[in-house]
This record gives sequence, C-alpha cells and structure tokens, in this order.
Amino acid sequence: MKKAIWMLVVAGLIAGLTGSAVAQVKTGDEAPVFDAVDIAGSLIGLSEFKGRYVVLEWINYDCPFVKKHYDSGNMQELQKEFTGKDVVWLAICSSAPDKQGFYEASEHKRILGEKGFAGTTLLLDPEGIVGKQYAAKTTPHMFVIDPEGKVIYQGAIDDNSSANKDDAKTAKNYVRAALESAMAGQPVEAPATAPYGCSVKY
Amino acid sequence: MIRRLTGWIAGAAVLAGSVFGVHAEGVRTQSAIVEPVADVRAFAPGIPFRVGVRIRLDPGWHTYWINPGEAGMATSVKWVLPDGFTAGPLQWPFPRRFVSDGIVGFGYEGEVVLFAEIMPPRDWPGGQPAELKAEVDLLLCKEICVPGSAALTWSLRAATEAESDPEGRIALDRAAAEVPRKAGEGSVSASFRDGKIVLRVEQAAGFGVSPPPVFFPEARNLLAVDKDPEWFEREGALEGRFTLSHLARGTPLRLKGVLVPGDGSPGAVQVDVRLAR
Repeated sequence: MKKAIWMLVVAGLIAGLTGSAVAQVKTGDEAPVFDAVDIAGSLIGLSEFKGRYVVLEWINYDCPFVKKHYDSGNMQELQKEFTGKDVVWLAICSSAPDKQGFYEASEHKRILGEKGFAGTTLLLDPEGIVGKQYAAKTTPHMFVIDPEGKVIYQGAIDDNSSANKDDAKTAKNYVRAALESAMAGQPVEAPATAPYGCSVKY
Repeated sequence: MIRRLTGWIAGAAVLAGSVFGVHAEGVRTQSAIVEPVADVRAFAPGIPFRVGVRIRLDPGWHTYWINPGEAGMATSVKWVLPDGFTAGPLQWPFPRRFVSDGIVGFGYEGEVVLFAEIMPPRDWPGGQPAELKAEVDLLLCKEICVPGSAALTWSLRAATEAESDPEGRIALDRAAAEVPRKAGEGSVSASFRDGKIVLRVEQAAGFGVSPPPVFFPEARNLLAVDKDPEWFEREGALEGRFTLSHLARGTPLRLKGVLVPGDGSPGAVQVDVRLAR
C-alpha cells in the first residue's frame, strides 16, 4: 500500500514536471485553453470563442519585425479584414516586466490606438504563461484556431523574413491563406512554418 | 627628422591605401562596424580573388548565421558588380549557439567575415579600376534586436598580375579556416528511426564525444533545436539522436547542416546526406 502511494506521488511529480515544460503545440491538436486579463481589465478565456475562428498574434512594438508589419499597415489591414469576417483576433504581449515590449495596460491602449490596431483586444501575459503554453518563440508569432478549437496554423506571418516593411506587401501571407482555405472548407496548404522575428522577451 | 619623414610617408601610404583600399571604408551601423576586405589591392583580369564583409560587433551583441535558430534573421549580402564580374556563393564560417530567454540562436559574436570568390572578366581593360559594391542587411541583438545595413564599396585596380593585400588576405584566410569542409566520403551518414533523426559520425571524421560535437541544421523547421541531442559511442562511431521539430512536415528526407567539434577546435564539416530508413 505504502509503495503504491509512493508510486502515485512519483507519477504526480513526473506529470508536474512535464506539465511545466514549454509545450509544443502540434497543428491539428486541440488549442491549449487559457485565461488572461486584457487591456480593458476583463478576463478573457479562449473557451468563450468556440464556434469562431481565433487568431493569436504575439506582439512587442519595439521589435523591428513587429514594426515592419505595423508601419506598413499590413497587420492592421489583416486584422480589419478578418475581424470583419467574425474572426476573434487576440494580440498577446508576453514581455516580462523588466524586458523590452512590456507596458502597463493604459500604455498598451494608447499605443494600439496610435497604431490603428483593428484586432479584438490585447492580452497581458507578463509571466509568459500563455506564451509558454503555445511555445511562442518570436514576435510576431501567429496561431490560427478553428471553430472546433483546433490549431490549424502556426508560425510566421508570411514567407519573407526580412525586417524591411516594403516586403510585407509583396510576401505570401500565411495567416490569410490559412483562414481563407479553412473558411472555404479546403485544407490549409502550409499548416506550420518556422516563425521569424525577435525572440519573445520572457 | 628622419622619424618625422617616416611618419609622413606612413601617413601618405594610409591615405593612398584609402583611395584604392578597402580598409578605411568601414560603416558603423547600430552596434556593429561593417567593413569591406579583399585579398588583393589589384586584380588580374580572368583571375579570381576573394572579397569579404567583416562584421565587428560591440561586446555582447550578436548577429546571425544562414539559419538564425528559433528567432533572428540571417545576414544578407547582395553584390552589385561591374559587367562581366561574377560572385561565387557566400561563404559562412561555422556559427556558435546562444540561448536568450530560453530561445536558441545560431550566429556570431565578436567578429566574423562572410566572403565570396569573385571572378573578373578576362577581357577587362588593363589599368581600368573596378568598383564592386555590396548591400549588407543584418540583425543585431543583445536582449533587444535592431536591424542594421551597410553599403560597402571595394575600389580595386586592374593589373597584369594580381597584387596581394596582406592584411585582407590574413582576415580572409582566418575566416576560410572556419568554413566547414566537405565531410570525407562515407564519414557521416544519417537515418530517420522511431521519430528521431540519427546522425552517425565515423571515427575517421575525427570528432570527440566529450564534449560532443554540435550540429547546426540549415533548415529552420527540421530539428527541435531547443532540445539537446543525445550522443552515444557505438561500434567505434559517434551517434547523435535528434528530436524532430513539431514544425517538420511529412517524413524528413535529407539532413543538411554543419557539424562543429564541441571543444571549439578546427575541423567543422558540412553534412548533406539522405536519411536512410
């Protein structure tokens, strides 16, 4: 009996250890659920968006690759286009409080206003909990979740990894391609790509 | 007086050097100085020579290899050459691995020279100088990242016999010694077994097990580079077992990259092998 209890304790420890490691989300898998506070102070949970497409966008305004997509207007256009089609667009800031890209909610609001952010909202993730659930590596790093809650795309925003904003308009946009294919009932041609950009400042 | 004169001559030589030369034209971009180097002061038509982009990074900053790792951006060098000149592939010294906030990067700290062989046309008019240019774009990171760029120019004379640039030659030879060589025939092989990529390195390749060699994959979505491979000694050979990236698509067919001795000694080799099953 004692032995059995010990085994359970050990199994629990092992489960705990693997649980705390950075997850790897496979395309086709159930998207990890999360709750996080947004810039308006509301607690936002992924599960409340069942039945809708959800885009996750890892963000750090001070990263040159994020600037590339905001200074060119590319990100805002994409947000506008797909929130217009009932897609939920969540930007997520996983910068730690002493790192680049961390801002208080009110500052985020101001900056997003200036940039003409057209997504649904921005989630504050200063402890990197959501970032590590999804193994977010770069800014930007994009995920697309389908109405059933499955990951249908993860990776780069497009196929041109330069920091030059002129390239944002001519590149093939993987997020648009994934959403368009899925909405048309077609398989996503490139379901996983290597993301590019600055490292997430955990 | 003599000393003063020597000083003046040396000064004049530096000035003359800067006219055709290639050293004085370094460009400061963000946290790096990017400079043109060449192994010749004068080239001979039809005889290849080497030109390089020397990147000198401020302490603590790094820049990236062909595969930058999980984040970052490879340096790009776009040549703009006079008519009839051609450039060979860009040569990259082997990279180092670094980890920031748990995210793995491949690249360089301190100083690196990326270079290429240039073939001037045979019928280049004697005595006519040639102006070679390169547009360099790079990402510089140290906790934060900033993009840098530099427009470099090499002004080179043409002569019937090439005239060496000793300082440039030293810099390029040093860089060339760090460019991975082709692995000996049959000295490296790889297979895909039980969801792992197994890289087998024969003893003849000369790699030690402690510390084990470091493999840098060229593709960004093949290996889980945030997981250390396991290395074993087996039948006199070394075997490294690598976890496949969750971004890999389908069954991997090839393994391409560079293998670098773990103790930092020279002897890096190129790996480009079909995966056996």
